[in-house]
Amino acid sequence: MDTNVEAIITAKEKGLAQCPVCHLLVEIDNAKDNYCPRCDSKVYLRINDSIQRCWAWTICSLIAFIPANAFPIMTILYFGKGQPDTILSGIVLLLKFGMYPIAAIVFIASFVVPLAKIVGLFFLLYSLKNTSKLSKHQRTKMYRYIEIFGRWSMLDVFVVALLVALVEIGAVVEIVAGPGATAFGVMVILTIFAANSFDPRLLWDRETSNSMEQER
Amino acid sequence: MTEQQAVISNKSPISAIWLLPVIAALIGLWLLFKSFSDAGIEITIKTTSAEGIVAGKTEVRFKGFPIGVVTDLDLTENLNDVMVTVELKNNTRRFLSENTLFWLVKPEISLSGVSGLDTVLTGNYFEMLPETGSQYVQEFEALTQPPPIAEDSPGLHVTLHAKELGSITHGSSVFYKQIKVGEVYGYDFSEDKSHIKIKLFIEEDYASLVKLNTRFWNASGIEMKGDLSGFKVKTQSLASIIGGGIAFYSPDIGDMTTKVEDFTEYPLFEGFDEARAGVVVLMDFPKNSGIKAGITKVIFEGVEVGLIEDFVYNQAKGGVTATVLFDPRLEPYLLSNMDFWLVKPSISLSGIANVDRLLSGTYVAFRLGDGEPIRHFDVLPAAPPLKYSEPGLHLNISADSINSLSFGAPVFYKNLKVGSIQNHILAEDQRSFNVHLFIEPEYMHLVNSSSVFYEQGGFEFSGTLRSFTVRSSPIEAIISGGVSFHTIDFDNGKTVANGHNFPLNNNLEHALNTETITLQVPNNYEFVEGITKINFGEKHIGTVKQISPSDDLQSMVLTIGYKADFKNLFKQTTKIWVVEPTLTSGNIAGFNALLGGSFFQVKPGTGAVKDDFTMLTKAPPNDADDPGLQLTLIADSGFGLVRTTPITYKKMVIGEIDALNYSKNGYSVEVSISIEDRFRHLVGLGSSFFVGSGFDVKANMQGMQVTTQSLESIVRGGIALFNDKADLTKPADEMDEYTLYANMSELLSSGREIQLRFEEVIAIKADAQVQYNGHVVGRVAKVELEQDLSATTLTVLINEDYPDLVRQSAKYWFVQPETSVAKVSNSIAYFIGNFISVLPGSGEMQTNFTGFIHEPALTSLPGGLNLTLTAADRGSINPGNPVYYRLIKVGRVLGVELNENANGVNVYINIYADKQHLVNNTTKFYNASGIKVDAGLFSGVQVDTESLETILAGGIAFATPVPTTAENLVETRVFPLYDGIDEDLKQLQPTLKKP
Repeated sequence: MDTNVEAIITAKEKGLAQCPVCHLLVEIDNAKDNYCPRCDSKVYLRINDSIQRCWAWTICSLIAFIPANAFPIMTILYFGKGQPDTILSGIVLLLKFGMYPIAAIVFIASFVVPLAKIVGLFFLLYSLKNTSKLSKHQRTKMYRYIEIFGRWSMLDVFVVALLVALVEIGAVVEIVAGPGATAFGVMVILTIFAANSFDPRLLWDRETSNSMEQER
Repeated sequence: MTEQQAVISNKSPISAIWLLPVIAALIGLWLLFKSFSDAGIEITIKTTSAEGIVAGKTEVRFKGFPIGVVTDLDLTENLNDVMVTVELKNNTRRFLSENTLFWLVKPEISLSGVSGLDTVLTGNYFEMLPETGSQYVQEFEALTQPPPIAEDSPGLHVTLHAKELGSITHGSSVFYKQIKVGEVYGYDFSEDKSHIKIKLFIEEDYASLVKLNTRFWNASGIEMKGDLSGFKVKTQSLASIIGGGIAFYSPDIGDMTTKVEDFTEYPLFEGFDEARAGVVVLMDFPKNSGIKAGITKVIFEGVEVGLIEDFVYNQAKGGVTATVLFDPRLEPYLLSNMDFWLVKPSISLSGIANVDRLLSGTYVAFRLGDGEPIRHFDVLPAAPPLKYSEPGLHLNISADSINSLSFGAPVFYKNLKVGSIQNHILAEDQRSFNVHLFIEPEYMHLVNSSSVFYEQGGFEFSGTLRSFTVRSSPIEAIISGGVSFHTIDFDNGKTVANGHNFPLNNNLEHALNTETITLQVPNNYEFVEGITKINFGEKHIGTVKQISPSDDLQSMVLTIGYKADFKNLFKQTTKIWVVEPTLTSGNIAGFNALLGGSFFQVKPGTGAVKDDFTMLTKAPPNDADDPGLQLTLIADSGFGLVRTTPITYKKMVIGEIDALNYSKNGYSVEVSISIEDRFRHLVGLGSSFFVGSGFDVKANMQGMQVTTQSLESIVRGGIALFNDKADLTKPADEMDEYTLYANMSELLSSGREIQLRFEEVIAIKADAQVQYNGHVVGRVAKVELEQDLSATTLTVLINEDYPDLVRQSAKYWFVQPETSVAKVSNSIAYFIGNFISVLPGSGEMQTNFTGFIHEPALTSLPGGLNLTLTAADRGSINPGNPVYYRLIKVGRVLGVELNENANGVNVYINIYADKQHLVNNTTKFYNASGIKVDAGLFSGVQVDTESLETILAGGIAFATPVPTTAENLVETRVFPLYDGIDEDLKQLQPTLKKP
C-alpha cells in the first residue's frame, strides 16, 4: 500500500487547490492568500495554520476539562435536600446503586471519550513532527474516530439541559444544573473545534510538509 | 479540468488563534482563584448528639440563611460527644469569636409548643448566633437549646416570683391585652428553693407598659369559671393555650409613674382574678370554718371582692388566720367597724338553702362600717343581725321551723324583693323560731297590720280536672327560699312599728285564710292539717288549720281557716260534708279528691251566722229552694256516679249531681241533680236521662262508630239529658222525678215490655238486640230459664214507636250465625252476639209471644211484587236466593215453607218494585239452581247454568213470553215453579216496557 501512496501525485505538488465552497480546482500561489475566482471564497492548500489552531483548541479544551470534572454538573433536590454531583461522583453513585451499564455508558461518553479525544489530538499533533509507531493509515483512522465519537460527548449536556427543563415538580424534585455542566459543554465544543481544525491531509504530506511549516 | 490562477493576496503574518488558549487559561485561573477564595472556614462544633446531622447536607444558618454546611462528623475520643466539622462561608470569619453560639434546631412538637417546623422538610440544621469577641475561634460547643435573650439586650427585664412553674417554659409569650410584648427567657429556683423565679423580657417598645403596680398572672391554658349564674371561659391567645404564657395588666390605682428598673420583682398570680385581688388582709376565722385556700371568696352584695390565699392555724383563737387578697378598689372601706361573717351552704330535708353556694362552697360576707383603717379582722360564724337602728322596718316573724329562712334569704312582696331575713333565734318557749325580718326603707309602707307572711316555696301546684295551675316563685326564691307577704287591706291596716310580731304561714292560701270555723268530725276519717281543703263548688276556700280531739274524745274538732270573702257561706243551715275519693272498676269518683285527698264541701245556708258545724258523711239531698232546677232521677243503681258529676245536654254541661241516696224503700237510687237556672227550660215532659259515661262504641261490618260524651264525662262519668221525645213546652217542676237509664240504648229501647217464650234453651244474653231487618227496635232486658231447663223466657223491651211489633201475629225468632256450604248467614251476629229478629204483625196488641228457634218464612214485603210459587219440593232454594230475569237479579226469595196440606212447598218471592212489570200472568218461573248438562252422541256436551251464584246457592229464574198488557196483569199471585224451561221460551225476547 505504501508504494501506491508514494506513487500518488497530490494536488499540492501541482500547485492546485480545490475551492472549499464551490469545489473549483484552482491554481494557487502558496505564498499569498488565494481566493476562488468563481465564488470568491478563500482557497487554500491545507487548512490555514491547522497545526497551530489545533494545538490552541486542544489546549483550551484541556483547560476546560478540569472544571468540567471538578465542578458539580447538576444537583438533584428531593424536598429541598440534595447533594451536588460531579460527573465522576455521579458515576460512583450509579455504581453504588448497582446500575453498572448506565455507569459504564456515562463513564465512557462523559469522561473517557472527551479525555481520549484530547489526548488523541495531542498525539496526532505530536506525530506530525515526530516519528510515530503508528502508520499514517492508522493515524488517519484514529482521527476519523475522534471526529465521529467526539460529538457524542455532548449527550451529557443535553441530558442535563433536558432534566433541568423537564423535572421541576415544585418543592418535591428539582434539578439544578451546576457550573460543571457549562464547563463540560464548553469543553466538548472546544474539542469539536480542535478536531475540525486538524487537517488530516497533513498526515499524508511528504517531507515537504516540514518545510511548509517552517515557512509560516 | 481547467486550471486557473487563483487571485493572490498577502497572508496575515500572525495567527490570532493563540489568543484562545490564553483566554481559556485566564478563565481557568480565575475559576481556580474563585474556588479557593470561596472555600469556607472549617470549624468544629462539639455536640452531644449527631441526631439528624448528615455530612454534606446539614446546614448552618443564621437567621434562616444558610452560611455553611456540615462536612464531616466524628466522635470525640472519649465517645461522649460528636465533633461536627462545618465549612462556613469565609465571610463569616469575623463573627467567629469565643462568644459565638451554635445550637441544633430540631423539629419539636410538644404540648408547650411547636418549633423548628421547617426542619421537618429541610432536616435539622445548626443555627448560629454571631457575636463579636476578642479572639478568633474555630472550635465551638453547641448549646442544648436556643440561647436565652441576653440580659443586656434592650428592653425591660422583669423577674416574677411564682409558687410553681405551671406550663410556662422557655419562650412562653408575655401578653398585654393579648398582644405579645415579650417572652420568658429563663426560670430557676429562688435561692431558698421555695419558689420559682421567672425571667421575663419585655420588648423595648412595650417596656413602658410595665409599671410598679403591674400585676402579672399565669395566662396559660384555659381558665374556666362557672357558678349557677353561668360560666365563662377565658383564654389568652391560642399560642398561650398551647405554649403557656404570662399576661399582665396595670390597675388604675397605685404607682403608675415611677420608671420600672430592670429585674424588678413581681409576684406571678395564678389567674386573672387572683391578680386583681390585691390588698392583703388578715382574718381570724372561727372554728370549723370550712374555708379553703384559693377557693373561699369574700363576696359583697353578690360580687366577689376577695379571695383567701392562704391560712395558718391560730392556736390562740382556736381557728385559722387567713391571708385574704382584697380587690384594691375596696381598700378605702377596710375600716375597723366592718362585720365579716361566714356563709355556709346547707342542705336539709326541708330544702336547700343557698344552693348557689353549694358550688362555690363557704364564702365570707361582710357589711361595711366606719372606723379606723385596719388590715386585721375577725370573722363571725354567722351574720350578725342588722341593728334595729338600721333604717327600714324590722319585723319579728314566729315560725315553726326555719326551713328556708336562712340568713340573707329574701323577703318578697309580689315577687319583688323588698327585704331580707336577718336572723333567726329559738323562741323562749323552745317551740318556734323568732325570725328577724328586715324590710328596706322604701318598702316599709307595704307592711301594715293586715299583712300576712308566708313561706316562699318553689312551685305551687293546684289542679282539678277543669283547671290546672302552676305558680312558680322567682328563681331566687326557688333557690334560696325566703318569705313573702301579702297585705290584704291597705286602707284600714294600721302601720306597724319595729319589732311587730307576725305569724308565718305555710303558703299564701293559708295566709289568706283569716277566718275560722270549727267542724266536728268522726274519728274514722283522715284529715291533714294544712292540706285538707274545704271547697265551695269547685273553689278552694280554705284549709284545715288544726286538728284536735273533742272533749269527749269520741270525735275530732277541726279548725278550718277560710278566706274572709266567703264569710257569708257559713250560716245556720249551712251543710258541710266530706268527699272521699273512690276508685271502682267502672268509674273514678271524686276525682278531685284523688288528686288532693279528701276534702270538705260546703253547701251554703241561710240564717244567722254560725261558726260551729258538724260534718255530714254524705252530700245532703237537694231542697226545692236550692238554686237551679232541682230534680230527682230514679235509677236501678248508682252507676258509679258521684257528686258533682255533670249533667250534659248535647255535650254541654247544664247541671250537676248534688247527691246520691237510696230511695226510701231501698230498691233504687235517688240521684239529686240540679240544673242551672238558665238551662231550666231544657227539661220538660218526656225528657229522659241516661248515664253517658265513657264511650259508646258501635261496630258492625260497615265500620265502627265511637260516640263519647264530653271528655270530662269520660273520666268522671256523667248524665246526659235526652230530649228527642220531650215536649219542652211543658217544663219540669222543682223536685220532679225522672228515670235514669243505664245507657242510651236502654233509653231508646225503653218501651213496651213483652214476654217472649222459647220452648227450648237459647244462647242469648240480657241486653241482646231485637232487630227488624237490621234495625234495632228493642232489647232483651232479662233472660230467665225455666226451672226444668226446658224453656227460656225473655223479657223484651220494644220501642214504643213500633206498635206493630207487638201485635198478635208478630213473629219473633232467635238468630245466631250459621256457616254452611251455601253461605254464611247472620254473620252480623258474630259481632253483636246472638239476637232476636222480629217481623211485624197485625191484630190486637199483646204482651206474651212465643219465639221461634228458626226464622219463619217471610211471605211478603211491603214493597215490590210479592208472589207465591208452588213447587213439589224445596230443591236448593233458600230464603235470600236471587230471582233472575235474563240473568239479571230482579227479586229475591223471601221464604220457603210447606204448604198447608204438606203436599207441596210454597216459595215466597218478592220482585223489586221497579221490575214488577216484567211479570205478567204468562210468566213462567223455573228453578235455576245447579248445572244442567245435556250430553248427546252428536250434539256434544252442553252445560247450561244461570249464574255462578245459582250454582252455589240456588235461584229462581223466569221468562215472560208475552209483553205485559192490561189484559194479562198478574192476578192470582200464585205461580207454579218449574224445574226447567223450554229453550224456545228462553229465546223469546218480548219488549217489556215500564208502564
